[in-house]
Amino acid sequence: MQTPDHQARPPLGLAARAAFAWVGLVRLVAPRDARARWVAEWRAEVWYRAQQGRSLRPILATLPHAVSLRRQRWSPDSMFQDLRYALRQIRQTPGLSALVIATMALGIGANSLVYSVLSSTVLKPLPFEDADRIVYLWRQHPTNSWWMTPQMEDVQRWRETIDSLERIATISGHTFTVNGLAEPLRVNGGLVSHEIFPLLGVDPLQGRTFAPDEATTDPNVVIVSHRFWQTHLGGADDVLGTTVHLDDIPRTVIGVMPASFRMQSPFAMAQLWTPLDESTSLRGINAVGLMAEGASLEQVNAALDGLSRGEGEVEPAPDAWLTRARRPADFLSGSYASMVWALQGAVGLVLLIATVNVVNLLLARGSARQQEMAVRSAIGGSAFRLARQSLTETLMLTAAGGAAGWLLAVGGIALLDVLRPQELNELATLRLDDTVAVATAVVTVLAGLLAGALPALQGSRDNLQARMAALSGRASEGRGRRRARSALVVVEVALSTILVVTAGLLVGSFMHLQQVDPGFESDGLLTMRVSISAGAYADADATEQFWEEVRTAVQAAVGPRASAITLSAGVPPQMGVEFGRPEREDGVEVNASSEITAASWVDSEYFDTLGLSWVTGSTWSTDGVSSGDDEAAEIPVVIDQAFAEQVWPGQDALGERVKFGGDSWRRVVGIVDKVKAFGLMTQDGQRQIYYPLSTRDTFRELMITLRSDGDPLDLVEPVRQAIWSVESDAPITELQTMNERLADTIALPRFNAMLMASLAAVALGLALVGVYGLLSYSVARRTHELGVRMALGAGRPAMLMLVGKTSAALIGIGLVFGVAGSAAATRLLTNLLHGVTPGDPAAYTVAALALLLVGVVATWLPAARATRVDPAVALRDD
Amino acid sequence: MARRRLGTSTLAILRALADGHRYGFDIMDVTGLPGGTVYPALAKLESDRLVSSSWEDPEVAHEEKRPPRRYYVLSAAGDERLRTELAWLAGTLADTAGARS
Repeated sequence: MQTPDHQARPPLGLAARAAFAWVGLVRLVAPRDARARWVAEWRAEVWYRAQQGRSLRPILATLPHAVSLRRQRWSPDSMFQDLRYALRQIRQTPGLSALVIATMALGIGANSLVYSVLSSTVLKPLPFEDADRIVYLWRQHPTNSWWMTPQMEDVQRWRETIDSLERIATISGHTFTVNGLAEPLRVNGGLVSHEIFPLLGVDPLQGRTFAPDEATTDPNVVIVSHRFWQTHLGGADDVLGTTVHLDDIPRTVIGVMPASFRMQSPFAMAQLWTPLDESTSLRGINAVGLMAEGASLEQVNAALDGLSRGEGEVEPAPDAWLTRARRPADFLSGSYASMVWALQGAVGLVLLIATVNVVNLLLARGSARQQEMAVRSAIGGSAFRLARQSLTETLMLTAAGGAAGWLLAVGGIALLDVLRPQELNELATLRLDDTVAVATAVVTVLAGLLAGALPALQGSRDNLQARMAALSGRASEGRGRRRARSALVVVEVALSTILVVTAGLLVGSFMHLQQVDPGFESDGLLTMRVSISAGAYADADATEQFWEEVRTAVQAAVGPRASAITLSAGVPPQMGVEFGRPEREDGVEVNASSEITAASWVDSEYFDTLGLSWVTGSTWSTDGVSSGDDEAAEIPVVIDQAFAEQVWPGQDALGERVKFGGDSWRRVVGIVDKVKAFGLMTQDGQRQIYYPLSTRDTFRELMITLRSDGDPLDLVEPVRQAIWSVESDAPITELQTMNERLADTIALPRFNAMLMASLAAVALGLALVGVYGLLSYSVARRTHELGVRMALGAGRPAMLMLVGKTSAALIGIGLVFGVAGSAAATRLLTNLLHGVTPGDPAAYTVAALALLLVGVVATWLPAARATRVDPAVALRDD
Repeated sequence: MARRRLGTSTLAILRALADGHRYGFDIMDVTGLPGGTVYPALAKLESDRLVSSSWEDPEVAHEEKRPPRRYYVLSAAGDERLRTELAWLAGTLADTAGARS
């Protein structure tokens, strides 16, 4: 509608001018598309009344009038109309709508899945009501800053003196031997004080938790996990009061925990809990505290600091152990948290790429709908209304995508449970809870707004010329819209490059780890852990005899199929640990970077069975090995080269003596090559020491390792039967080849690499769709131009070049930005990489080749179509 | 679903339009309703297509040396709606009066 123009008129008084000023101010409230008319209407009224000499007070109606116009834009009727219209449009373009929904579902679903991992294992690792009040209490060594678990005396003192801790519970991890089932089992569990379940605020599903004095009055009770109840006790309704034999001790089941209950690492896999008698001073007690209401972590730590100080002292004594209350999240391994954050970043990129794809699809649709938009604009549709209708349609598509994505996330959790490495206990009970639902809804709305904003703005702003062209049937894509789409494809290519480079680095890292030499002959080795309960083998002689009988039985069972057998307290990658800096006999200080020495107690056949290379010396003889209890005794040990180099640099370590703290001396009788004691990711400088098995009194469990000339798995059954012929109640666990054992140590990097590679593949797929879509549409719109060129003599190669140039430009520019972005982003991955650097050229080369391949594939069909244009048809359509 | 009845202010405005009053301020004077009621109501009625608006003849405005004003007229649908509402009101009042007597 035309607004009237002004002309020269007699001057007006002050009141009229003030009224005009008021109209000028209030006009900002009126909707932009109605503003011009609104201003003209009110100015005309002011003129009229001023000329008539009538009161201008009614001009105050301008404000409610402007507000009412603005409110009409958001009336329920108009919004409902928009919804109906959007639904109609979606039904009219089923293919495009399905593509948009599927693209969004992929991006949103992946984000929901990874966010559920982040939320439940990193941000909020404890699924308890007062989780933010729960702290772990640890001691810190005065000189070497190690974190150690407290002693019981510490716990008693804290309970009596620290008011900011409402209660403190204690846990001691234990692996129970469960007897009386089809096969003896080893099950993770813990001895716990009675406060633990009330502290965590969890009630059992059935039965009760421990009474305060139960550990001393009636200790033979057990609380089982929901999983244990279902798997091993048949899920029986009358399970309470039944008996379970743990370590040969019959215990009565008094409670079953709910299915959702789990503790944090290292107790995440615990399935059985028995009462802890705190009057026995056990090592390895973990203390869990519940801060009082309103107390802060700082207050608790200040109180703990006060206990570390001597009377009247301002600072703790230099040799005093410090105690710290720390949040459970602090104990997650740094590399796990980094992995999850990296994954969250990656799926965020995938969602961004998906959104960019959707924007491109919608812009293309907008171009095709120009005629419709022109007609609607011509009959009165305001720009605001057109934009809102476009955005409504996008939000509906995105909402459908979000719902489908939620379903994908549900499936993804089930898949993750199957594919996850065993180490990732944290993923054992993932859940899509309210937090994830809210996050999904927010992401869905934001993605919808982001995807819909540009198409909505473009659709409402198309200029008069474009509208006229559309009405006459000669619509073409405006330059602005074309540039926007091209820019978006460049962004897609850049983001995909970042993902592919990241995946390339993680895959490269994993491949490097696979090539790592473990330091011994790992092929052909079978390993297993055998355990016995204290009840059956009470003294050292009985235990020693048991192990000898097992060795004899196993040797007889396998015969010549096994060329060697060894018994040891640990094999790679599960070696024990000796804490403390080694001390030389000559008193020279050892300059070692780490206070940890890998250690194991092994028999004399260990080194040959594992195929360890001797640098010098040999294993100990069975004579002259005395117990470490005697002050004058020394223990013959074998060390590795790293130990020798760190403790006696540049010297011959053979025959030297060393000790750890107040223990007896160890004499070096042999030096072997370095091995990867804690798995393939063990640092090169990790030193090791091997003790004779006979220098420890009692081993309740040992590793048996056999070297087979054939397939080691062929030895499994004869070995199991041989062991059970000696003791039928001995659980045999961790039965696997050494190569399987070593592969498990790189399960996390393998998982990382697999996930990132999958995301990179999705990103490449989306980039392919994006580039293809743009080129395909471009060729379709340029049919006339292509027809003219071919009529003028351009051949097929020229047509291919025309299309190919566009594709090459998009990919090339996208790659440049992508490489720059990768250089910045991959610096965050440093602690996830092994053997490769963030700037590894192989990863960048792979990314460039992958994106070039995408370009070639995406260009193929549109280019072929361009060469098949019939000039006669193309020109006739003009 | 029964159509929502128009309020008395809206009916008064429609009646004023039916009586030939065309300008917002004139309708305010005739109905006694404040501008904050009349103008939003006119905007709503226009959006519901019960009322239409136009600019007055520019020649007239030019003669009077002022910008053209915007005026409002009842549409056919608005006229029909006014009749229906008034008929309903009359019927309801008659029923109420009959019940009281």
